[in-house]
Amino acid sequence: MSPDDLAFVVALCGLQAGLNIAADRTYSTETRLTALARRQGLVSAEAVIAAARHPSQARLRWRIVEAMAAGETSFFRDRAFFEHLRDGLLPGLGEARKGSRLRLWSAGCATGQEAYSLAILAEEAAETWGDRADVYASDINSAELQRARSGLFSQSEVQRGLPIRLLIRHFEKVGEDWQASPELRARLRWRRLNLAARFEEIGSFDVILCRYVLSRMDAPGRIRALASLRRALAPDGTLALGMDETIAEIGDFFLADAGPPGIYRSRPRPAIAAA
Amino acid sequence: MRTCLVVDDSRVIRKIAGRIIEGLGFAVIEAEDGLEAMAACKSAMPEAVLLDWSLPTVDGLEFLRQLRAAPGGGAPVVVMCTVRNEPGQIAEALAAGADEYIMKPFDGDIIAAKFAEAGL
Repeated sequence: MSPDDLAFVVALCGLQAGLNIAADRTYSTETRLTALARRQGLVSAEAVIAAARHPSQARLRWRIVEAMAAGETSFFRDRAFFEHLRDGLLPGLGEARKGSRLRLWSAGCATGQEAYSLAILAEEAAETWGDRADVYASDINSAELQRARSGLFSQSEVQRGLPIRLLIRHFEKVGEDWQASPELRARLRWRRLNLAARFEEIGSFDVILCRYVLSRMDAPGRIRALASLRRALAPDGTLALGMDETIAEIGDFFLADAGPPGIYRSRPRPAIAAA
Repeated sequence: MRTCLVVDDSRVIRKIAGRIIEGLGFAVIEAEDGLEAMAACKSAMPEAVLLDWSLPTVDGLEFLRQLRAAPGGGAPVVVMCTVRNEPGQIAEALAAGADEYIMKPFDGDIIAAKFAEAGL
């Protein structure tokens, strides 16, 4: 792949999704776009880019953005964080929200492992403090969302982060794959959403997980995303980034919370001065 | 150093798994069936056991039941590692005293994740 091709992809992803892929090497770009070429019936990553340069190919250009946005994920990624969620945050919120349902959001859910991890926590907690949590999940990539919605995971995927007892309690074997139970799937709501663009009001959330997503965006994208996340977070809600993720602009929107790293609360908005 | 007993009738699998587990900070000993595994545990109880199911002489599950019934045999963390991947089989192994369960094929990430889940 030529430097010119890479520059085209970097500019396209920055413009359309606030993605910062300059740090990614040519190799990973080529790997992702070669896989996309195969799906599109084209011969190579170069052929995808050549076709995408044509003004009429907006759809293909978006496929490139989606392919570059796809992130790594696993069940219960950062075990300590999920333990904090299970033993501290969720019971606390359950107490504070007596009688109303909790709304959890996996923002940038990729193939859904994080969203299903939340649904499993909700399902397990239902036995102790009642069936009161709904899980919302969004991603920029419609192909991944569709896969996530199916609840189907390969044997290899269900062995990354998912304890075996939770696997046999919450999943059913379908051929060589494993599928999330109807109860888990019923708890989840899916939506395609570009965090770097303006999006419609989606309501107020008690916990938002936006982990290892912002660190892959450029500064304007991060700022738009942080503003949207603050708008969507309940005043006493919690935002979780990845445990080892550092976001330069976070302090303008959120305050770090006590507890494990990566946990934030809304920074109160300054009162608007009377004109 | 903590010890992990790797029980598999395939020498190749024992070598591959053994190298991964050494990378996790264990001294590895090997056994190729349930009889050898039981003898190894009686001479020195390991902290962890990676255990195949289908084995000649005494199979993995029978060894696991004998281990759990033996003095001090409740202590080792046992991670099954087998091609058997039906929910009923997994439940049977957990009931027999397995702590975690790996469905073959595995890689280093899966073994590391499963050992962490089992508290190792």
